[in-house]
Amino acid sequence: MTITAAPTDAADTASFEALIESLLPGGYRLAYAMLQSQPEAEDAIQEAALRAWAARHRLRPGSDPRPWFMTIVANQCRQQRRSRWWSVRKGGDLPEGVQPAPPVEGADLRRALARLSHRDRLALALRYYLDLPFEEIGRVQGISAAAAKARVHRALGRLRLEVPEDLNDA
Amino acid sequence: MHEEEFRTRYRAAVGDAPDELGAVQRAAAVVHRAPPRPERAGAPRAMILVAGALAVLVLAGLLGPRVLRAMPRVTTPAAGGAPRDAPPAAPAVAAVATCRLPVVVGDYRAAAAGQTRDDQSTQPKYTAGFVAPATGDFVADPSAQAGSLPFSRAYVNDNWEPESYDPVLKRWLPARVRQVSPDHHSYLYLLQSPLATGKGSAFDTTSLHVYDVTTGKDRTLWTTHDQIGWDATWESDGIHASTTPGGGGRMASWVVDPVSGTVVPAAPSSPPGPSPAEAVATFSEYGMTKGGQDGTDGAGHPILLEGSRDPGAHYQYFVGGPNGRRIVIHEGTMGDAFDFDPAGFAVDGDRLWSANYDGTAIWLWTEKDGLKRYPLTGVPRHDFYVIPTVVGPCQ
Repeated sequence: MTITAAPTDAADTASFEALIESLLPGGYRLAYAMLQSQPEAEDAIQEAALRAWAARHRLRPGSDPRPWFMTIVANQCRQQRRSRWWSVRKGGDLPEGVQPAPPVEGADLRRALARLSHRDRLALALRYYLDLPFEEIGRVQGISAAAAKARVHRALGRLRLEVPEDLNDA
Repeated sequence: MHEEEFRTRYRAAVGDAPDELGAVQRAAAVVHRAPPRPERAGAPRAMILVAGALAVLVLAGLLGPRVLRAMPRVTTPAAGGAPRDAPPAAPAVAAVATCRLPVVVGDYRAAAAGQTRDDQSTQPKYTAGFVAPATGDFVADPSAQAGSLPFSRAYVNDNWEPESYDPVLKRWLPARVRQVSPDHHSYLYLLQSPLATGKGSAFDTTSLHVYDVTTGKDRTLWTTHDQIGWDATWESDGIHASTTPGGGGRMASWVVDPVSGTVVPAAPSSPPGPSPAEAVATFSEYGMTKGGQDGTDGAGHPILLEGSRDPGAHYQYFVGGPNGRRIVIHEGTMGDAFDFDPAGFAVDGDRLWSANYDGTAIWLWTEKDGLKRYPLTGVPRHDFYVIPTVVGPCQ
């Protein structure tokens, strides 16, 4: 994925659209890792894109837009998990015809990940699903690189308690 | 184990994000449809934009992510069909003391725990029945069976569900109130082909059907290689539907003649759903900064929630009247003693009915008499995994 710096004129809609499109694949992967559901990840990335559009003036010219957008996606995932049943209603649902079966392999690890706190799960997703450096994980989570590294390792420690076979010596 | 080895296990457990290209294209289409460029700076304007985005978010939640505008690749209007009988034949508003309210209770407990949609045992379960507001008892109706009624299907395991109770036909239908014809003889439904499985969707076409309950005749009105949105509605001027290209992209809105099958582009502001720009306009008109729309009343006015359902949040449900006037249904703090937490609204003349999310109450609201609570019994109370919904007028 090619990341460009924020457009100098943040109000430039065309520039923003080009910028946001370059960020969507990573954002969608993050949403999927956090929510483990294709329809929900799609909801999250679409809503995050709209939120980013509405908040684009807050993106400082010249700054790296990826952590900024990933933060919006992460917040959207957290909100969506909190209010998951808001949209569950008769007549309001659309079919989820493209939901794939999750892989059987790693079921214990997946369940353990689901029990982690939002910020721990986010730290692991950014590190091990998106391969982001600790500096960037820190920017997404609003902490220093060192704190991000510590958070990742604390999260691993919590996982180790639940699925030691997946984390021996990690 | 080394970090790299854990990374491999992590990715195997989480799996690849499916259909990334399609998901990204659909998200990009949302951005492309965002409201016109605003003026820079200016707090009020910015607030309106944020509000608009939030409105779209809630609408997206209510209507689903596939409700995006797109141009179809193929339109194949079907010919013929039975003439449409004219006037609506809905009975007059019934007395609350003697009427019964159709309610469907959705049980999502198994679905919430399920790992895959291929497992029939994890499908949501629906129980249809009636509540007499006078007594508050929910009584399941064993006649809510599929019989020969066809229903919308996209997934191989989709089941027949009672979605409304028609007051003229006196039977449960697998279609929402707004998918029933004005003469109450027919309803619309959609079929995706081939049906999706747990391995994903490879649909080639979707088709819009009309089924005449009184004659048992089924007609294919329109078949397209695009995906027809499940939010299609039957309005007085025809069937309103949206389509999305199979590979993602911009949505398009259409009006389909229920007799001839002729498909013509819909006016920008027509049903089934407002565009982001229209949502911005609605929020702006009522000075809202956070919330969403929860349907419309019998006159077509939006029913709006300002605030949220988060515990402790201040909220106001209101009907959006002309010139920005708020006709307040109720205002309070989410989780307070009054416990107003409506799971959607059903129109019944000038009345609005709703069931509380937690299955403890039925609500009746009119502008003249305000909000009234009727205790509800007989609905299992299992936090947010069991949700009752009013699906038609009291009769």
